[in-house]
Parts: sequence; C-alpha cells; structure tokens
Amino acid sequence: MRTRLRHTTVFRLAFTYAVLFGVAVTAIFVAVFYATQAQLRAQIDAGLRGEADALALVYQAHGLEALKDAVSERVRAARKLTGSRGPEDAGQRFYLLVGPQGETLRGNLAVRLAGGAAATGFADIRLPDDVHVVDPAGDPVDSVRLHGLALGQGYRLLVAQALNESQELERTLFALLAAALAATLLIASAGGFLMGRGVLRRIAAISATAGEIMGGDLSRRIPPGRRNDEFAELARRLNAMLERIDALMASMREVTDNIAHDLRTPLTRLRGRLEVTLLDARDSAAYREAMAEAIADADGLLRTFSALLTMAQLHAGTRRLPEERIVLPELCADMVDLYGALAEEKSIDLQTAGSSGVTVRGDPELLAQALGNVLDNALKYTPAGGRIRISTGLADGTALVCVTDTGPGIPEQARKRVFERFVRLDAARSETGNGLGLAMVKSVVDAHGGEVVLMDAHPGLEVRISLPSAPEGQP
Amino acid sequence: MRILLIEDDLETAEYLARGLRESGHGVDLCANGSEALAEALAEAHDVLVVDRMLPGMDGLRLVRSLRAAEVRTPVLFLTALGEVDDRVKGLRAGGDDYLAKPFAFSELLARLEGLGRRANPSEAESVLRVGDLELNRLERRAARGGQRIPLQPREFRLLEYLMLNAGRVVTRTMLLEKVWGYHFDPQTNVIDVHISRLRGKIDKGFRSPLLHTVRGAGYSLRDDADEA
Repeated sequence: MRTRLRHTTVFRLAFTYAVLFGVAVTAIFVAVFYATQAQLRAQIDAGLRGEADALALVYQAHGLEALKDAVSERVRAARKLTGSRGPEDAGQRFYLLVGPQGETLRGNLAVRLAGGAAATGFADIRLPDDVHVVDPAGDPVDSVRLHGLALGQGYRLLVAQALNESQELERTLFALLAAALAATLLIASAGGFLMGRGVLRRIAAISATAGEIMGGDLSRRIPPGRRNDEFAELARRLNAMLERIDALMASMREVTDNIAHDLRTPLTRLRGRLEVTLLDARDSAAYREAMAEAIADADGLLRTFSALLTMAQLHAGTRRLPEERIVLPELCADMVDLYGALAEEKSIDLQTAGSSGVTVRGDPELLAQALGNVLDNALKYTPAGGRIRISTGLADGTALVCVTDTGPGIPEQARKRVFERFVRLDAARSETGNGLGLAMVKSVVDAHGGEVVLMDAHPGLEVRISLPSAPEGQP
Repeated sequence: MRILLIEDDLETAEYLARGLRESGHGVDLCANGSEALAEALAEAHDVLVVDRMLPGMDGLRLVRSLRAAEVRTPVLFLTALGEVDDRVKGLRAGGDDYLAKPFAFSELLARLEGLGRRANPSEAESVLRVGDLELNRLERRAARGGQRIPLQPREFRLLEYLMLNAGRVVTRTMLLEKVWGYHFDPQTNVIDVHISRLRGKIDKGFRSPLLHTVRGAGYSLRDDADEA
C-alpha cells in the first residue's frame, strides 16, 4: 500500500498540502517571533532609556557626586535584587559611569565589556566566555542590551540589561514553532494519507469493477458508496453508461439471435431446393423454375435482413435521422393512394380524415414505411366489406395518427407482444410477410421520440401513433 | 451500353460484369478510385457504377471530381451502408441513382438501363406509343387501338413511367420510387396490385398483352408482336 500510495495523485496532493501547511505555519511563527522580539526589545530599551534619563537628571540637578552616589545605590540595589524583582525592574541591570579619560568612576560593568565605551545609543553586547555573570534567577548571562548616554564634559553613563529573559522567550517561541510545525506536518500527512486512502479505495473499487467487466461479467456495476458526492455521481454516470452499453449489447445479441433464427429456415430451404434440383438431370424449364424459386427465397432473405438491420440501427441510435418536415395528412394521403388499390381489391372502405396542420419532423421514408406497415396489417386482418379509417390530429403538442379497422382486433394480453420481432399471432402463418411489420413500426416511432399503442376499437383494432409535433413556423 | 464498373470487391465485380455482359452490355472494370477517375476521364461510357467505399479515392470524391471536370455520364452508386442519409449524400455529390447492398442483379440492371436511356428524347415527347397503346401526355389521355382508356391520375403516371421505359425491365422499387416518390420496402407487394389493375385496363380484352411480369425482377411494358 505504501509504495503504491507514493505513486498516487492522492499522495502527491497530501504531500504538497503538508509542505504548504508547514511553510504557512513557519511564516506565521517567524512573524510572531520577530514581532514579539521587537516588542521585548522596545520594552527593554524604554526601561534603559528611562533609567539613564533619570540618572542624567540627577547629574544635572545635583552634580557628579550625587550621580556617583546614585549609581552606587543602583548597583547595590541591583545586587540585592535576588528573587524579588519589581514589575518595572525587569531583569538584572548593570551600570557604568565613565570619566572624560575613559576611567571607571562607578559601576558594576567593566569598560572592556561595554565595547566602545564611547558609544551612545543602543547596542547588543555579547559577553566574552571568561566573564561569568548570573541574573537574579541564577542563570548565566550571555549578552546584554547596552544604552550609552553622554552627560556632558566628557562624562558618559552606560546602562545595560541582561537579555536572558528575552532570549528565554525566544527559545520558548522557537520550541513552540518547531513543535507546531512537526504537529502540522504530522496532521497534514496523516490526514492526507487517510483521505487519500479513502479516495484511493473508491477509485480502486471502480477500477476493480472495470476489470471484472473486462473479464466478461457485463452485469457488474460500480457500488455508488454511502455518501452522495462526486464519486457517487461518477459511479452513477459510469453505471448509466454501462447500462446503455449493456442494452445495446443485448439488442445486438437479440438481433443476432433473431437473424440466426429467422434466416436459418429460409437459408436451409434455399440450399435444399438448389441441392434437390441438382440431384437429377432436368430440362431447362425445370431449372429455370428452381432458379426463380431460389431467387424469390433469396429476395425474402434479403428483405428480412435489411429490415432487421434498419431496426437494429434505429434501436442502437447509430442511424442519424433526417429532420425533414413531414405533413402527416399528406403522408397518409400518399399511403392511401399506395394501399388504396389493395383495399379496393378486398372491398374494404379506406378513408382518411384529419386537420391539415399536423406536422412532424423526421425521416419521411421511415414514417411512410411505418404507416404502410400498419395499413398493410389492417388490410390483412380486416375482412372483406370492412372499414379502415386513418385519422390525424393534434393533442397537447403531440401529433397523432390513428388507424382503426374493423378486423378481429388483438386480445389485450397479446398487444405488447406483437411489437416484438418475428411474433405472429396467427400460428398458421397463413398471411404473407416476414413478421417484422409491427416491430418495424415500433422501432421507427421510438426513433422519432414517439409512442405506438394498440387499443380496442370495439370492434377491431386501433393503432395509435403519437409523435412530437413540429408546428409550422417553428424552425 | 458501355458500362464502367468501379468496384473493389473482385467477386462482386466479376459476377456483375458477367451478368451485365450477358445482358448485352460492354463492361470495363476498375477496382481503384484514382484509376477509375483516369479511366472515366479518358473513355466515354454510357453509365458508371461506383462503389461508395473505394481504395485510392472515395466514391463520393470520385464523382465530385468527374462532375467538376464536366463529365456528365450518369452515375449509379453502390453502397453497403444503405442509410437514407447516405443516399441523399450520394445524390448530392452528383450521383443519379443509388442502390444499397444487398441488391438484386435485376434491380441493378433495370436501373442501369433506365439511366443509360436518360438521354433518350422520348422523355420530352408528348405522345408515347407502345404497339397500339398510345398515351397523350399533354391531354393526359390513354387509348389502345383507338379505344379510350379511363385512367386515374396515379395510374396515368404509372403507365407513363412504364411507357417511357418500354422494352426495359422496371422493378417494384423503381416504380415506388418514381411513381409514388417513396423509397422503402412495402411489406406486401402493393405495386403488384396497382399493376394488375392497370393490366386490367390496358390488356384486358386485347389479343396480345403489353404489360409483362418479369419473374424475379419486375415488369416490362413491351409489344411482343413488334419484336416478332
């Protein structure tokens, strides 16, 4: 898992976030550190300046001797400060009063430690290693903050304060920063790892399902997970895609099965007929007869094959339908013109009725074929002297074509089944046709986004085709 | 007719060529699009049969190039695709007819003969005659042996088309396409019914029938007495 994890996007993301968090935390602490340090220095400097100014006042008011006494007093007081610091007396103070020749007049600070004793203003002084100074708490002092003040006539006053406290704070802050940084990195890495593992697990689930599907188990689906998140959405979409592929595959399989089933018989017949013809020597008329029959068989086969192919293309959506405007009453009139002769021959009264404005968009050839098949069916089953009505109309934005006959109708329980391929209700197969008529109607209507239903016409059958209407004037 | 057959499937090309030759036509074969273009530009043919899928040059491009070069020889597209959309594409590219595989040879032959006859001036003639059958296209009247035959408009157009193609075989699909303007496979042969009704009008009561059924192919309007 660990080695795999290192190569994943999730790991890279977690790592990047940990680093970014670390950098951010460090930046914040550096800022805090310097701000605190500056504040601390400002406090120390203010204290030192106050002290120096106070002593300078003593000098100006009472002269050098008074200053000397005052410095001595401070030094003594400072030495006594063990463990009892007042709030203003933050830390050990050191004093040095230097004469015009640079001689030490008073103080507890060696001139050499004061660096350039001539310096005025503030400076950080690091104490040499051979000087051992301890602060009131007993901790050794490494460096001091020094403030020099010229008193006039060559006299200079130096006041210093141990930086122990400040350094201690700095050390604490630094330790805190390190700890926080470590904690941040740890939390970010652990969090990244845990989140990553969760994500990885879900990707692994998708990957595993894909593998199983590739392995041949097409019914497998990706578990959507408990949460309704992007992964669930992805899983849903992938599953929907798989469903569609599965449906297409099933449809293809069905077509293949049906082709195999329905073509096997006529193919066998065709082959047999030719074979038997060859068994004996015949005259050319007999050969002609056999060949003609074979051609008729082959034609039937080709027609069935074409119809199956068209339906398969329609069902699979691989056939792009033209978007021609079709005026349904005109289409109906054309079909009546075509099939009217057949109706007259059977003494069936074939009539159309409907408003002229009913238009749809689609493939005129396919819709003509569908309507033709419905009419053909009606003509086959309507007894002589019967009646067939074709009516067109509009209902709620839907274009309707209804074909009503006075035939025997179709029992309710069989109405769905007749749309399946190769289903015939007349077991004797007395009527001609390839058993694909109504299946083709359904395929065509479905492909046009419509619906075809069979209803009882009391007596007879009503085939109701509804298609999305495309009113005139709309592009 | 001299036919240039451009088809890359050798077996199909061979049987088509044999069939066409046996039907009395001269056939040149070409299996490659670019060779076919050169051949079609160099030689005069009466009709071209072009497969849509060709090595070298796609059938559509071939015909576009020919049309661009002012070659107006009628073209019949053959295709395995068989989609309506393709049919439209083929006709737009300059094709004159379109046949989807699988097709019957008789269908191809009938369509080719129809195309080859395109230039025939009878298209423009106002009176068509086959034997003693006469069709006046201006007055929209038909008569046989001087005897007026009442025809419904659709019957008139059916007879007109048959007479324009007199002596040739016309298939049911061709009739549905040219007379009714539809291109689909009707379940029952409704065309047969129309033909038999027409036959009842023009042949019934006359000694020699003019409207013949050609088995496995379609129909032919011809005057046998003429040929004899």
